[in-house]
Amino acid sequence: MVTIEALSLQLGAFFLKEFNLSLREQEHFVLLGPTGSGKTTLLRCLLGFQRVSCGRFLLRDRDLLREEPHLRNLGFLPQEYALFPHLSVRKNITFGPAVRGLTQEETACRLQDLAAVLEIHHLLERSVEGLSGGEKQRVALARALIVEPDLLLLDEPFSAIDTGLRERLWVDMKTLLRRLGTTVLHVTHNLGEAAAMGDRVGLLIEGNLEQVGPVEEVFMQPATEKAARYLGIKNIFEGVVVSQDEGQVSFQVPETDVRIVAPRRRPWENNQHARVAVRPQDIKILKEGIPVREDLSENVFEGEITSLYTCNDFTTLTLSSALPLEMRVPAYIAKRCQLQPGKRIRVAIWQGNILTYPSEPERACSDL
Amino acid sequence: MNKNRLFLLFCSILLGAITIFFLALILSLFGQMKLSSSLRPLSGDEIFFSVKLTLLTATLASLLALLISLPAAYLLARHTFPMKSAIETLLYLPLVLSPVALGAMLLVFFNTAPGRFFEAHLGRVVFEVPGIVLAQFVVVVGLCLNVVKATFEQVNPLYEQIAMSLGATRIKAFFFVLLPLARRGIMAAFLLTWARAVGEFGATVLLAGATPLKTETLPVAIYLRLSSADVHGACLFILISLGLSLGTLFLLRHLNGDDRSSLITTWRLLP
Repeated sequence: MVTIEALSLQLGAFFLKEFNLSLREQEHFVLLGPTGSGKTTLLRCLLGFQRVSCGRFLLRDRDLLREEPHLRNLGFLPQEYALFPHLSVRKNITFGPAVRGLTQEETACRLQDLAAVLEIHHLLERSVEGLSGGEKQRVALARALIVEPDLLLLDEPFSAIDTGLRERLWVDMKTLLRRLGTTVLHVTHNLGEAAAMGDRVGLLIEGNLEQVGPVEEVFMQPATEKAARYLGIKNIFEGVVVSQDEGQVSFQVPETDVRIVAPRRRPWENNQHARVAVRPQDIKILKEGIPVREDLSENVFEGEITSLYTCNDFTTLTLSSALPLEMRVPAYIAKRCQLQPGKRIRVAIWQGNILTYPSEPERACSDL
Repeated sequence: MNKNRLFLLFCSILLGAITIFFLALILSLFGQMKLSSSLRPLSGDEIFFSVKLTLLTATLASLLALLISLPAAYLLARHTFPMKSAIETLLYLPLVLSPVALGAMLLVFFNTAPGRFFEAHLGRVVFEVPGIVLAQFVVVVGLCLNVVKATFEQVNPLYEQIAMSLGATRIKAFFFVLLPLARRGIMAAFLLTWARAVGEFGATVLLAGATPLKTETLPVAIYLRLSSADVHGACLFILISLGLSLGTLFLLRHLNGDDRSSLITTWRLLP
């Protein structure tokens, strides 16, 4: 069990504020956040290379913040891997056991096991120069794992890997680390990587941990507007509560005649200001002559496509309607519906997935 | 001819002019040696003494400078601490201060109570061979520190951090990671320092004096020959110095690393 309690630090204008996090044994926890949000700084604090203002980092009842970096027994895989260029692959991997004074037999045994699991036997006598990105990653992982760390810290481990290879390596690494039973704190800004690898995910934005939860929960129900924006939701509107009942609440968008009906997930007061967020994939195209499903019937818009592009089997388009909307549909649907700029279409928002947040200053704290 | 070509032509003419000027300086030595005859023929022992003394003292001074610079540069390159900037400025003073002034400062120091105490308990320095080593050391230590620090700064600190995360103490990370990764820069620092020490004259002559066959390093020998109007003898010592300098530059050129030219540039810019 790893616990980080109220970890705080200030670095110039950057603050890491009262960071709290608990990791379960053998859990793969992904800390997701934009560049500059403090992810790497947090890892540097945990490793002992960045002084913190206050806080505790408890690992099996030891406060590691009070210990020297070399005594913390943490594995670290930085984004550029940082293999020692003056040592061979074998010596890179056995560097840890050598400086810890492990016996040659023990070192050889661990090396043998890891080389087999990571399939790097053929690389052991090579120089680190000339290794491919994937090979470097496996060697760096072996170097971090050979000391049997209590916690493995991964800092953007796939940033040096070609995009096409990454997705396969996400699965490979996740499978491998699960097999080894390693507890992992993994930081990245890549949403796909977090979704594929994390057992749980935390969103770190501007030094604040906005949300922690299982992957699906965080991606489907971002707890704050900041989290929603980071997760790629661009359809975020101001709204004022005009009516509500047990199951749903209506928001009037100021200076328009648009009303958005959303599920009622918390008590609202009439005239309370809110932010209403709609994920691009929750906006559906309505076809003429086909009955509209009940959960699509409340929030219907008609507008003109202003731009459109297709990438990775999905088409993203912007719609000029009573509200400016960005939506994402499977590419084959875009093709079948002959979507193109200038075409007028009717769309509806999937009511059950609409996200709502109280406006500042009364916005609720995230449920950390 | 367009302006780009004109600019390149201008640069080429200047480069050619300065190259020819230095070649002329070297060739003039050979010419002078042919024209002039030695007033007092130099014995092999005299030449051997100067060369041996110069190599010995320069090597000792450079090794001492390197031994002190390695930990000091590590601290300066990797850590921040109060008064760091002021300390660095003070240590780099020999880079810009005249060696004669440094020699005079040393002479004044050994005329004070701490200086006399030093000489009484650790051995004579003023007008003695250890004085040469000390003078050379004081002149070159700033250069050595500067180059070693620059070398350390070029090594990504992440390597040492990785080493520490793997269980290495700071000392082990220094010896097993930083030093091997900085070895070429350290070698270059030693060679530059050594070459500068070989050519040191101002501080040496003030602290150790210019006694023939006692404190007669190569630059002192040149000075002594010229002051007795023995141009032939001076030219011979200059050629030996030139050979040592060219040899050092040759080694520096063959040390790998992209920073070699900048290191040489640094050296040439020194007072």
